[in-house]
Order: sequence, then structure tokens, then C-alpha cells
Amino acid sequence: MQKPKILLVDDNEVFQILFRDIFWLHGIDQKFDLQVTDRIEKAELIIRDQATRPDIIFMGLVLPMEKDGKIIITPEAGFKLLDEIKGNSEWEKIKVIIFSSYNDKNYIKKAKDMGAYMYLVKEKNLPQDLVQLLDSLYAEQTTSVA
Amino acid sequence: MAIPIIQLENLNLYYDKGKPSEVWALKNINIEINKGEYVAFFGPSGCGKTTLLYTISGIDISKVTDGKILINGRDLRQFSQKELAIFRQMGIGIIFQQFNLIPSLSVLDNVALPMAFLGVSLDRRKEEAANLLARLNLTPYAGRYPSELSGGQQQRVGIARALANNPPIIVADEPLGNLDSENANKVLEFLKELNEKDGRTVIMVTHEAWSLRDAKRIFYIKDGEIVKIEEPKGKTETAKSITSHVMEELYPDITSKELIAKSLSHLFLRGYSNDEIKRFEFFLVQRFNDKLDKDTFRAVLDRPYKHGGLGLWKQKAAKIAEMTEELIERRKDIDRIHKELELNLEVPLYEEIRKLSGWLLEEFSGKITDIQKIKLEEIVSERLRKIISSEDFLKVLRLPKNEFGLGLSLRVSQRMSDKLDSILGDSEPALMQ
Repeated sequence: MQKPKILLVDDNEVFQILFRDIFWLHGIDQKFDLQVTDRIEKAELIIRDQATRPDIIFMGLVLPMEKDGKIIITPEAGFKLLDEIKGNSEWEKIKVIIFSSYNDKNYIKKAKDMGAYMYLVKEKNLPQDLVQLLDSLYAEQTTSVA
Repeated sequence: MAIPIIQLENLNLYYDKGKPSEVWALKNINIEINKGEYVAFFGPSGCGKTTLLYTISGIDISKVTDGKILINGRDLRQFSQKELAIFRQMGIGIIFQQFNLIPSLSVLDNVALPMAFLGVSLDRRKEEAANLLARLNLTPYAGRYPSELSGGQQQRVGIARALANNPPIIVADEPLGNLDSENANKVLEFLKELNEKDGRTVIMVTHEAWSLRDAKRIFYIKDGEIVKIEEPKGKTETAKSITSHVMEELYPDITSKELIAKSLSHLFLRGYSNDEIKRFEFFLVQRFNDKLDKDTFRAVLDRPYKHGGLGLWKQKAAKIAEMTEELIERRKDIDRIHKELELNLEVPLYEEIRKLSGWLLEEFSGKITDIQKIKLEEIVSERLRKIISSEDFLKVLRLPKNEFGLGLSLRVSQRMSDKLDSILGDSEPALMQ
């Protein structure tokens, strides 16, 4: 059986390492395939390809994106990606979990309204919390497939 | 098939490679440890077990010259500095002999600190630290400072801190060294629980056979090599007797050298950190085994700590080096005395005893009476013949003259007793408060 896929979209190198380490150290990589990217443009390519399309996406909101020929870092980036996913009938069943440093009521409400599955604040989550969350996501994923 | 959580392949590590003080500290290590195992690294001070533990923890691995350190299949030697730093926070929890708590932080803050390195908020950190303290029955002490706690309590705080970032591997580095038997037992019980209930992989690093009680597999280490792997069967007592038997078989004379190293570090490095003392004992054992010459040994004592030395002040380094050489010489005398005693327990040995007593009296600057001198020679003789123990020797030194003692001060008595222990190498140094 193929493992469910997770994609992390985050441009913070330390956080990328930390997230990967949780999969590696706690055996979550036995349950999920993990891909990591730092840019929404690259994330779109990964989602577009059926072979790499994730079942679950963890993403930040404030990310780099290209606008008017320049790279800017903006929450627009995260919302744009979320909007594209939820606006596409083939993609909309992907669970999108916003995993942001920003604990902003307006962001949280907007993300939820747009169809985000969860909104997590980075500094409130210890490695053990993520292990628990990933285990329960795995249980959900495997029962819903069966 | 699950891959081993820890896999060391042909690992070699040198200190000071290419210099006269070069030491081959880890030799062709090949081991596999499975997830959820409880194993032990067993061997005397200076055998390389701490180096091995540091290697697995991703500390100091730039000294590894070849081989692989695979954790769940990934080689730590290929990691960037950032990756190593994060692995050290999340992958391994280390419990230290000297607890290593920060004295100016409360118990709760000590436990919460490792989570700060991962950018977790203060609220969440404190909440989790409180949970961990509750698990170790330490809730009433959360607001206290380490110095207000007993050794046993401090060690439990050390365990809670090691668990802060939920590491799958727990390493206990001589965790029972400073504890009484009741507290040592509690620590062993807790390590067992971490292994059996949580499924964490536990590595016990020790030179004491009784710390091996719950280990399912024991790696015996000698001179940087794994010399034997044992899976003790049956209950505690059998495991204990097997291991102490094997200890004698594998390390016939090294135990006394190790005790000498301990006595010496106790004598010279009182007040130094655990890491400094360990490094000192390591180089001392190398000197005892003649793997380092006299001058190199002195150079190592003198060299800054961050460059692999002890960072002692030049004159102190020279003095310690000199005393070490003297002890090595004395030690030869003692070996000869013991050989003679073996032939005839009644052999008088006047000359040797007078020499030794005189050497011990260098610690005393006051005047000594003839009666005190005779008394001292008497107890040195008894100590050599193993009629009295190190504790008894110390007691007689301190006892007032009207109670047939020498009536010396605690400090002088302690130094004289330590000095004699350091060449006899038959007793653990007494812990000073």
C-alpha cells in the first residue's frame, strides 16, 4: 500500500529541519511520505503532478512569492495557495493545515473560512504535540481510505 | 524490517591526531542498537565510553576520522551544524552524573529551558515542564532552586529536563554516581519505566556493575574497543555476579588504575566541572598506561580546554604533572611492597613505611611529636597490609591524641588519606560536601 503524502511549505530552514526530524526520529516516515519546499510556486508544481500530489499540506502563511517580477514575503502567499487548492475540484480534498508563527485572530478566521482544516501556531507546539497530531492524522487517513 | 535506531559502522576517533599526544580513543566500533532496547556501555574511566556517548549524541564528531554514525539510517557525519544542533535538542536526552542544572534558574525553568531552543512559547514550555515534574513527583519543588534540593531530587529534575523535547533516545551517563542507594534505585526504576512504558531506547553508561541491573545487553569497552557483548539472563543477582566476574577477568589491573585516577582527580581538581574531571582522568589513565609521555601529559594539562586540554594555570599544570610522576614512582614501590607482603605478611618494611609516612607528612606544616610519628607509621603499615580501611585510616588521623589518634585537622587528614589512597588504588575517594 502506498503511504499517504505530506507536503511542508515553509521557507524557514530551521523549521524545515525540525519538521523533518520529527518524521525521522519518531518513525513517522514509516507512515507518511514527506516532501518539503520553501516556495508556493514549487508547491503548485508538486500538487499539479498526480504522482506527487499530497494528501495533507502543512504550510506557513507569510511566505516568499513572486509579484510584479520581484520576490516579496507576504501573508498573501499562503492565502493565495490555500485559495488555489480549495478552488480546484481535484485539489480541494487535500487537508490544509496552516502552521504559522502568527497568532492573529483575523488570519485564523480568514484561513478557516477559506477551508483550512486546522490553524496551528508554531510556538504553541512541541515536538511531542506534532507527533501526536501526525499519528491521529494517519489514523484518519487510513480509515477514510479503507 | 525496521532498521536499528543506532548503528555505528567501523567508527574510529582520535584525539590530537598527528600530535605527540595522539590517542586512538575509539577503535573500529561496530554496534547496532534497536529501537526500544535498554543497553549499557560498561568499562572503566578513560576506556572511551563517554567519547562513544558523545559521538552518538552528535557532540565532537569532527574528531571522528572514519566510519558512520547512523541514527535511523541517517549518518550524523553528513549533517550541517544547524542539523546537528537540532538533532541534539530533539534526538537525545542526556542525564548527567553531576546533574548539570543551572543554579540561577528555578527547577521549573531548568526543565523548560531545552524547549526554548526550539522556539516554543513560555506558556507552553511551563505547562509541559509542570507535566514532566508531576511525572517525577517533583511538583512541590517547581519554584525552588537546585541548591535547595537533595541530590536525588536534583537528579530527577535532570531526568525531567532530558525528556523536555521528547527524545526517542535517553542516555544516562553515570547517573547514579552521586546518589545514595535509595535514590539510585528510584533513578533505575524510572529509566526502566521510560524504556518499558514509553518505548524509549535507553543507554546506560557506567563503570559500576550494579548500574547494569536492567540492561538487556551490555557492551564491554576497554581501551576504546568493544571487547565483549553480553546478554545477561535471569534476575538481577545473576546479572550482577556475572558482570563483576567478567569485570575481573577483562580488567584485572585497570580497576585499581581507575581508582587511582579518581583519587587523583579528587585530590587535584576539587571544584572543577564533571567534563574537566573526566578529561583529566582520561589523560591520566593514558599516562599510567604509558600511552603518553611525561612532557606531553604536562602539555595537555596546560593547553586551553577548548583546544582539548585542561586549561590549568601553567604552574598548577607543572605541579600536578610532577606529583603524577611521583605517584607513578611511589606506585612502583607499593607494587613491590605488596609482592613482599604476599610472601610474608609479617615482613617489617620499616624503610618503606618511614618513606611513605614522610611523604604523607609533607601535607602537614606544623610540628609533629615522636608519638604522632610512630602512630602514623603504625597505621600506614596497617593500611598497607589491608588491616584497616581508608575510612579507618582517616578516622585515626583525626581522632584526638588522648583517644590514641593523631589529632590532625580535617583538611590535613583528608589530604593525607587521599594521597595514600591515590597510590594504593583500593578505595573510592570519599565525597566531600
